[in-house]
Amino acid sequence: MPLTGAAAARLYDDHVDAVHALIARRVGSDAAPGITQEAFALALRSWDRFDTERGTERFFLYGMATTTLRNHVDAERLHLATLRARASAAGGNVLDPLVSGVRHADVRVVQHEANEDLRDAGAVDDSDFDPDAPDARTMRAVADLDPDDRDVLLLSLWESCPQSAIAEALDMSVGSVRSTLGRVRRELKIAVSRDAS
Amino acid sequence: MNVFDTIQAIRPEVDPMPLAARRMIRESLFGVGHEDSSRSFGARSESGAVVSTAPRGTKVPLRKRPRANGSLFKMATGVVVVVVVGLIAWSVFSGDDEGTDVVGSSAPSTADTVADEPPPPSTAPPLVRTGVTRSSPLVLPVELLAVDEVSFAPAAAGSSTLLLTAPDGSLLWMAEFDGDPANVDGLDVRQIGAVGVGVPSGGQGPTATYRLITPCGGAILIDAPGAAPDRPEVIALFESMSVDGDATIDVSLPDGFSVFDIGEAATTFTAQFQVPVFAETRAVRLVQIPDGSISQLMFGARQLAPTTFLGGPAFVDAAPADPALVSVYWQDGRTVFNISSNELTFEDLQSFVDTLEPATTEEWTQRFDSPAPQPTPPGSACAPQPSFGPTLNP
Repeated sequence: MPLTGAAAARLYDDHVDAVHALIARRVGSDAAPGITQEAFALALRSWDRFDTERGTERFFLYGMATTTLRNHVDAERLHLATLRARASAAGGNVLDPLVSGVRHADVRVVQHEANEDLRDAGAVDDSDFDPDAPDARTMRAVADLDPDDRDVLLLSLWESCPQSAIAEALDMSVGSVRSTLGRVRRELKIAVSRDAS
Repeated sequence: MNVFDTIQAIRPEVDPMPLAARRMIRESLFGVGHEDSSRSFGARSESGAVVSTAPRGTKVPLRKRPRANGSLFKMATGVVVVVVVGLIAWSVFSGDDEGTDVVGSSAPSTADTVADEPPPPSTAPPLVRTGVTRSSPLVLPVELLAVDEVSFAPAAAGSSTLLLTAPDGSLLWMAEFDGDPANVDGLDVRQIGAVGVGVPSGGQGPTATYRLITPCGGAILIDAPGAAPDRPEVIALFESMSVDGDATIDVSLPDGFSVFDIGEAATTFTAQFQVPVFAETRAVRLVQIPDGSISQLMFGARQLAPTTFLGGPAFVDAAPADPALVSVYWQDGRTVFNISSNELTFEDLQSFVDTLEPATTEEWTQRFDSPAPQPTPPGSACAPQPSFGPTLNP
């Protein structure tokens, strides 16, 4: 049964800022409002999946937001390229983690093309970017993660979700979340070490 | 720095959703109406708070404050004050009247500054400076700061606290609490009007304390620090007081008295953080009570002065026992907060609070690896237990 009326409005008022912030971190501020609207529409339609005994509204909505983001891969890629350009213009020291991964070995075609477009337009200046900086290596490894693993990782590290909340949001078991985070940590460590050598 | 720290450190900061977009989406989802709180100032503050937090790994931008000589002594004094307040709480709610002496020993001798303005009107929309909501009623630092003290105290069963403004502007603190049949050992009890009032047999300390006698449990009234024992205003207050057969405490407030704040006891969450300031850290104590009241937060004789904190109404402790202590009280949404430090300025505390992020109680317990808050333990079987009546708690 969809959630409607005053209860739905209250849900929106209580959580729209947090959901919007999550989405904006992934796709940028320009695209975030529209995707936030989609996420709430999905959440209201899917309200019968929300288990009040098991979880919180906030983390249920985070799950809806993550699901919605999967429909906007192109927007996310474009945002990554835009952030990359902005970081370069600012001196190249603060880099979006996923954008930094665009530059190197496993360049995804769309991202690469987006970067090329921006470079052609004069928006990208790589002159100050140090691809071998430790942060850049780490974030390049993040960019190469499986999308499912990256969702778990960024819900944990960027949204401060406890493992139980991630499990709720992504419909996983807490054990799976814990093992995913442990495996991702090992993979990132190995990838960063390998990259450094 | 490990890989996870690195990823946390570059968490992108994002701007709040523009109000126009927020409203447009709301109206497209629900139509116009449904008490659109995005049109209120409070909602705007809330939207700002969610995104105003510092990225993980960054230092809180606090201004360095010159440390006075003997700061360790001041720190120790602050700890003593905390312990004393804790003892008062324990003694009051356990019915141990010896605690009334402790109140006097820790209180300042004068109270020149008092609250001279009423609290914000109850009809005003709640101002949410910290982003707290019903589901995330607490706040936590984004960073994992070192902590000196973490605790939570379940709500005392059946207890309420009350702050009254006397005609001279001073604040009188009162609490009623459930318990076993009243124990008057160590008290000199006399009749004032229709009620029995006990005072410590050994005489009042610098802060006058009174015990209202009820069949079970009791009620305690603490006068402003430095106020004379049995001052006429307090006697007039007791003369206007009644305790009926259901132990309901009512007062036809004498002229010049008003209710400043009243609330039922709720679970208290306390943490003392070490906040990085340049190369050093400073102790900051944060007390949070979801669904609590300023009067519960104060717990004892304090005098408040109105101030503006993060753009909204708040109060500072006008005459703290430790002169270096800066202590601020305010309410956001349904949560009341007290932040205090004797090592940071008012502005520093403001900066620190501005970096805090809303959190659920589960996140609070997970952050500190603390046991989950337990429900309030059952109260005494004695009956009737006291409560504040409709004249005080309409």
